[in-house]
Amino acid sequence: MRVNKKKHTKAFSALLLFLSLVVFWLILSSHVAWEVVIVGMAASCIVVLYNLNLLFDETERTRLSFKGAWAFCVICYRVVIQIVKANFQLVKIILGKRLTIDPKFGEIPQPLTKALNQSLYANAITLTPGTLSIDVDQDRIIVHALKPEYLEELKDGPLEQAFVAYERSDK
Amino acid sequence: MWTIIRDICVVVFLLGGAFFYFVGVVGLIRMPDVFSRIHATSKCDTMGAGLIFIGMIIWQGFTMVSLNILIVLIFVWLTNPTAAHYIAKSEYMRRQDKPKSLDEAGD
Repeated sequence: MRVNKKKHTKAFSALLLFLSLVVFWLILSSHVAWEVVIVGMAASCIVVLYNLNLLFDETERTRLSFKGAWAFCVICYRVVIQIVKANFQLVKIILGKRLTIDPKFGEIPQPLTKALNQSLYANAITLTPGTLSIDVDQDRIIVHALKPEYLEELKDGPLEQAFVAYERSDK
Repeated sequence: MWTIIRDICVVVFLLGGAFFYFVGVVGLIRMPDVFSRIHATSKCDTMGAGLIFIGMIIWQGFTMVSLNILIVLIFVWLTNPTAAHYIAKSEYMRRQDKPKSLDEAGD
């Protein structure tokens, strides 16, 4: 029964991916003609089949909801702010007379449980000031930081809170 | 009048994007090791591409083409950190797994 449900949600994920790829294709091709649609559908189908074992099922991602959509908007807003901050910080470091960096590796606890959210969080960490995610698993994230204080800023920071709020949005 | 303001905005965004790409390249040369270099390239590329694409969207106005550019922008922002993550992870694992001697490998 459980296996059946998992298969069911996987099929739903595959369908969702297929539809979004077709829409992506149609938006990128400037005109809609039947040959464009057929080639697009065939290409999307191949991509979905090729990536079938990489798809996230229901247990690995947050279910879609209005509350979740709002939480996701908060994440996007905070990530954009972090990207701008990170870049100005890097400009200061790189164009400074001396490179004032003290690179080190560190671990931060993994606040999330679902695989899709974990990978999104790892991506967001790479875009936050002075930090780069190296390895991700269920309990920790290995991070490379240009200065030790950047690592401390990451722990329980606004970005982590936003992701935790997003993960809890479907409960 | 509006076209002049639009043109100025476009130039500011394009120059800003080019500046961040420039900083990324300088960082690539100046930083001491692989990981620090990835910091420079991944972040500055993201911001540079973002500014240049926003400049192009303003230039185009709200048309189908600008929707295309927006989608490409989202694609770049998603794939850029992922690529950086993979380069960093492979280098990290290469340093972790030092090559075994033939005797150890046979055990």
